[in-house]
Amino acid sequence: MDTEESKHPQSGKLLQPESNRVLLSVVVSTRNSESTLRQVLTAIRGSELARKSYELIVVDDASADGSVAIAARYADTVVKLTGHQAGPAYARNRGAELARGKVIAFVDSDVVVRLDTIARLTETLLERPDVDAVSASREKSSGSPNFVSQYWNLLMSFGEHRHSGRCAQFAAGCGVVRRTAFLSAGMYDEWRFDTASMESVELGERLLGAGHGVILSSELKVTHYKKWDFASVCQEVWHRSRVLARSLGYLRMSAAAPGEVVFTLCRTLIPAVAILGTLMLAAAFVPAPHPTAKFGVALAALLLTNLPVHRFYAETRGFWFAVASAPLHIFVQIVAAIALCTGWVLRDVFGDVSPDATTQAYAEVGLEIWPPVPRKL
Amino acid sequence: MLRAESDAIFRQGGPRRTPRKSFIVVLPENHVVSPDLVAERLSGEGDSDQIDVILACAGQPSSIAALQRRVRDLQILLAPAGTSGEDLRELAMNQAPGDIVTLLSGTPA
Repeated sequence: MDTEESKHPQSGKLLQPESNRVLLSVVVSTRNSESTLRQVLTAIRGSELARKSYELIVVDDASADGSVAIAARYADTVVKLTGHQAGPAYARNRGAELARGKVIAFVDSDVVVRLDTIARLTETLLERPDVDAVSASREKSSGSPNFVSQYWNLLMSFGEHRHSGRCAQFAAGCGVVRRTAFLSAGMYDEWRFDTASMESVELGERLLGAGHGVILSSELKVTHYKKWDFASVCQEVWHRSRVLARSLGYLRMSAAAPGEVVFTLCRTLIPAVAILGTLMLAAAFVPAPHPTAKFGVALAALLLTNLPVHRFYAETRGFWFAVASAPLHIFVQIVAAIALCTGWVLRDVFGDVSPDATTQAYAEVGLEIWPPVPRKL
Repeated sequence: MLRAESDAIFRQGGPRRTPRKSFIVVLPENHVVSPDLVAERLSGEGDSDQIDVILACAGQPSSIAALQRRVRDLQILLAPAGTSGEDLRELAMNQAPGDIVTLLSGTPA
């Protein structure tokens, strides 16, 4: 766990306006974020950052709501992407191309920063030459009060809490990176990630592979305001797991970003399945038990192997929250397992993901167009 | 073959090769615009003739002749007196045709 930031209580001290030169570029990518964008941008504007030391760039990914109008009230630059949804990786890259700062901060359009978050993240980079990218972890409480949002936020927080420090976890919510490192690593992979998924984890892994220092701070926090429901959580887990298996490689990412939520889910499922397999073999030598007993053994195995997660829930939200979240957690684990298997099958049959044929043809010919054709790494 | 097809797309008036840029200069009520400040920022944006510049003012502006001389085809957006800076930005954004819109205060900080 990295605790360097705690040594610098006077946040913002390095971001005073010594000159008119922009030190930091804050890039916010947004798509139909009317409900949260005002709060997000107000928090950035209220940060402990000298006004002349940073610029705020909002990239709108073809929103159909009033996101652009809200962005205009706060931003220094607004980029309006038109056409179909290009994804946050693409939008962040367009923002980074316009960035004038030597440090770039990426903030999601549903993430509210604390007063000192961006300043202290930037200070960490300025004071530690060995670190090229640092990101904030999430608060244990979600900005959205419903049960599923709280469950999901805590699950993500659990992984970050256990595996923060030096790893490839460049959190999508709020992270800062040196511009030179970001450009030399090839920026976000906009070719394969056309929707919000694991593009930041992949970028972190690439940065780490290129010898750059990447850390996830357990002390600097941000609040996520996205509202989750049962269907959206299952969809997110399905998508992440499939991308992990099909495109990124399970073992490679497991070593680089062990805090990723898919690993949190399947890390405990594998021993549970192993225990159940052993018990099934043993059952051949004893009389057939009642179906209820079989179900009870399976449930006990799942609960036992998930004990750290349930204990984390109980400690954070209380015993009854942990009890209530257990069935949802088991269901989500099963979704992750099926999606991983699907991803492996898809990889073997169809190979890695790629854009549609028209985009590939435009990229091949090097067509100059605005908005630009996604770049291949 | 593909190159020929892509050239045909542009000839037909389809997508642009480069982004269109707009510049919004926000001038609050009872403030005087600084032409030097605007010109300095415009000069950093490359070919300033290709940039749409909109001056968004609250109330009747004064002393904008100098800016009009320095910026060709300056568009002026007049909002009622008392309109806040944030509202001016939003109103001007609705008028800005650019893909990349830069917003800045027309007065020195």
